[in-house]
Amino acid sequence: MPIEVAIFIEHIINGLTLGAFYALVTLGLSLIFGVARLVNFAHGDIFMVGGYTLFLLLNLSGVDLPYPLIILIVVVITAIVGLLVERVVIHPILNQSWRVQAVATLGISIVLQNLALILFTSDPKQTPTPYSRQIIEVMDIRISVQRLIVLVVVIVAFVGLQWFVKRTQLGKAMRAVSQNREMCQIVGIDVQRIAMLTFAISAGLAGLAAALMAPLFSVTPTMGLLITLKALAAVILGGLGQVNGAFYAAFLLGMIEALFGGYVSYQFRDVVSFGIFVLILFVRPQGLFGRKVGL
Amino acid sequence: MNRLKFVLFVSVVLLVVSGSALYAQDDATPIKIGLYAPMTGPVAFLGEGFQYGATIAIEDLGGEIEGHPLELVVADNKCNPTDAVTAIRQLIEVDEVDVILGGGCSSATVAAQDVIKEGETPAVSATSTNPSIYNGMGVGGNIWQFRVNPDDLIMASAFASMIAEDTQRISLVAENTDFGRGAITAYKPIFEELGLEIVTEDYFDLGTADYRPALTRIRASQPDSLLVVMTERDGSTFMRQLREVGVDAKIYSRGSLTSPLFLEYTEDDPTIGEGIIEFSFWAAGLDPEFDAHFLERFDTPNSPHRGMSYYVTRYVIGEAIRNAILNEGEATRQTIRDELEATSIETPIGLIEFDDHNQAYPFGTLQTIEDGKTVFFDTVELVPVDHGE
Amino acid sequence: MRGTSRTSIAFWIGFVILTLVLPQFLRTGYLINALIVTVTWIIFALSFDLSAGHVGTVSLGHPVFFGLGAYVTALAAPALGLDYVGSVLLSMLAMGVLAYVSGIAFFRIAEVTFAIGTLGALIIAQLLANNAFEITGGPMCTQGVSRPVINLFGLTSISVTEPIEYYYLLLPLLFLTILVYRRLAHSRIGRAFAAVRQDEVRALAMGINPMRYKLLAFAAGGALIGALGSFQAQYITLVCPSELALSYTLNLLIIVFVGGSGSFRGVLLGAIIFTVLPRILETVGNVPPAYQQLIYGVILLLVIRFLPDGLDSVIERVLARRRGVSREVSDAA
Repeated sequence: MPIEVAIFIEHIINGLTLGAFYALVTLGLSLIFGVARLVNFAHGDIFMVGGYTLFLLLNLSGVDLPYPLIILIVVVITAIVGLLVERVVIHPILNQSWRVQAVATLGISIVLQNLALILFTSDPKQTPTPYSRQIIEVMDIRISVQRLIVLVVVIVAFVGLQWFVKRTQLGKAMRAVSQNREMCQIVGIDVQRIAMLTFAISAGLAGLAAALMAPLFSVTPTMGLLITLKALAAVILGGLGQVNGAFYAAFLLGMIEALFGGYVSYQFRDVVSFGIFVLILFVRPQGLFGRKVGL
Repeated sequence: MNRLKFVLFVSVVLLVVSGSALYAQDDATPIKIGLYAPMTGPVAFLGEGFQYGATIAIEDLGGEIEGHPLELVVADNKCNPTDAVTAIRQLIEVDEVDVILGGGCSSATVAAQDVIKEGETPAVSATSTNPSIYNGMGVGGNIWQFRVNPDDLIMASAFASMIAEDTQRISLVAENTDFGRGAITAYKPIFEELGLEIVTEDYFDLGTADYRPALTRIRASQPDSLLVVMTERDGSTFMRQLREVGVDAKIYSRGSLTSPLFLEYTEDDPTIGEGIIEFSFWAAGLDPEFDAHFLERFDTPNSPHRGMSYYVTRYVIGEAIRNAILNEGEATRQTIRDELEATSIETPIGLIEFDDHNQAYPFGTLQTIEDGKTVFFDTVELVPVDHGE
Repeated sequence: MRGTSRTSIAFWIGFVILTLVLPQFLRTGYLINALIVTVTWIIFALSFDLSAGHVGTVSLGHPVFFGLGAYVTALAAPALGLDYVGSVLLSMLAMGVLAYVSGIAFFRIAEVTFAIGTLGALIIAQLLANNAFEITGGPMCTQGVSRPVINLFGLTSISVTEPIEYYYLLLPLLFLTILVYRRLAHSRIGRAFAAVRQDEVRALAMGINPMRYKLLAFAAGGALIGALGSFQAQYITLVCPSELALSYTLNLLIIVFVGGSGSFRGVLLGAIIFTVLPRILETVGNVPPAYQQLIYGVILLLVIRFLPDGLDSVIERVLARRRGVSREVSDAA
């Protein structure tokens, strides 16, 4: 195989794994937007909480928990944090406009980030797992097992979420709420309870993302910032509230970045990806995969 | 009565705040050292490192100099020029510090220059490696600003030729900060002059999570060596992923990729840093006793920022204060400045004396990682270089 | 101005006198600098609220016009040989035009999409400033912006260096911003703004073109903040990519939401609290920076929870009670 082809394949793989990063964070963000019409600027900070939870669990003295169990605990804890945040901050202002709610999530973001800074300092915490060191080499392309796990889990999470939304009672209710909130209230669906549970699931997904991705870099108080922005772009590109669309858009962003960053310039990759994002909005305000809806 | 609750809350906050002010008590003419550094935001680790170093330096001085208690006052410049002006004015005009310790983040350092000059307060920079400050210091106009660490132009003149000995094709990698940009700006023309081919040049924003796309390109460009200008924080992630992608090249570091802190960040896999050769003005192992002392005191290892702020506070600033008291009767801003200018002291980082631009020339240091441990193997004498206009 | 009462005239005369004499009581450069920072944020927040509070378009990209305004002055004004007034006007014009043109594109999208789209624009602008190293100096900043010089009819010139001189240089911009803010709020245009904010479809039916008014507020806000960026560049004497930071957007939202959106008094209050509180926490309480940030976050959440219309709603209620049940239109609101 000529070297150019091998390098091209490696860039494609880079794009897939980067896309998987974004997709995993995007899923929860898109879900909560779809169901509760909430732009959650604190999503990345719940992701960060998941990162620190992972760090603490990996460093529990005397106990050596298996990685899958750790992931599960991180998901549960972040879901609980999400639940608390919803109860304390979001729930009382459910009737306010989306703007007020979005600003409230910014407030949550400020609080969580600075709590983390106070508790853990800004020193990056390392959270390696045995899999982040294991490297698979195929045809001169090297990739860590951890990255492959992310890729696999994101697809499993996506399929699982599809199943959940289509087949379970709660999932169906969530879908109904996302499609027509007022009607749901009329037919007696407890919209507030659905919103609360969705928030918890969304936060749990952020926790899952952290438990899988943090081992590839490190945990810091500000780790959620950039990825929230990327995920927000994916949510909008996907068509607001369209979880599938957001998922594909996340992979699209990852691929653009990997290819532009790989072949042209890594430092300008985000200019290009956000530039494409904004341009698409002008042409298709409803997003790439969204149906046109009214104001 | 929700509104009442709110009003109550605000009153409590204000009470607590004003109450804590009462704690501030007067002591017999304490000497105030102002720490001017980013304490929040993405580079808060720099400020934290400085605070560690200055704190332990004051402890090692016994908390006082010639009977005058030392007090550390911290101002957060947030690494942006707007907040920098507020922070530096706070130190000079409100806290009325006698001398300022600063470093990292040249945008904040540059923004503070005029205020320092007008406020006639001596300021000593410990790790700011950006060459652009040099021309303005000392005879350049600002007699109040001093810099202990060598800047990148000074270091590049000594180190670039060493890299050229075993390198024809080089990849430049730097964090996209004044530190990274400043270093590459200094090294690049020298490399070109030496006939090296620069095959890739990348700058990464702080907190970058995925370096793979750039690393794949670097691997495809088949460089002999990489020059990596990063601190431990981003550098450890970068090196981790570099090993994953499998870039087969020699790694030169102009940052802190061989420090004990770097080793701590990569302790799960000690091979990550193996063989990196680093040029700096600080090395673990220069002063093993202090490295151990630091680790014991803070339960986290020493690093360039932590170490340099220690040496500058303990030896350079400490000595200037002592001499001011002994030679001139009291430590004022003026006398401390005068004594700083006259500094001549042997320290673990070399002989510190300032030139007419208030720039000192400690050793350049060479170090590497061998078998998972930092090995300091040589010092290089650094000399003044032409800084142009 | 409709319903300008005697009390409100007294209020404005008092306000102008206060702003003029205030620095005379502040002895240190630190305090005057703090005052400049406060006034800066008042202008920043008012220019933002012009759109956010009056027309209801919340652009998360507002700092773009501030930062680019600063860069325009730092990079273009010296080449054109402009003095202070010229460079401020240049930045003002450039940002007004940029806001107008970008508004035409961005107002095709609305609500959440608009907010995130403008956020995307801010990120692009900051990344460009950070990476277009050859032009902006990237993270090493555009250094050596000259201090303001005002040419008087080509005869003589005044140069500005002291904080107090800077303060008086900034005041006209504050007055201009307040004037624009209030003229646009309390006039025929203001009623059109309100109509667009409340219901765009109905506004259209009333013969009001929402696009026109959105653009008007957006361009006016962009021009004002561009001028402020120009001042900032000449005050700090360097321009860094951090002038386009996302944190500025956060600050704006905190100020406007804590103070009270759509109200001059609210925004004023928000900006004063936001800039004075940290100084008090720092100098009096010695509160570490991370704890300060935490306090802002908690205050923001508390206000949203208990006073969704901002602190101004409390003042409004107290004033209304004092005036009696028949609530007059408060001109100062």
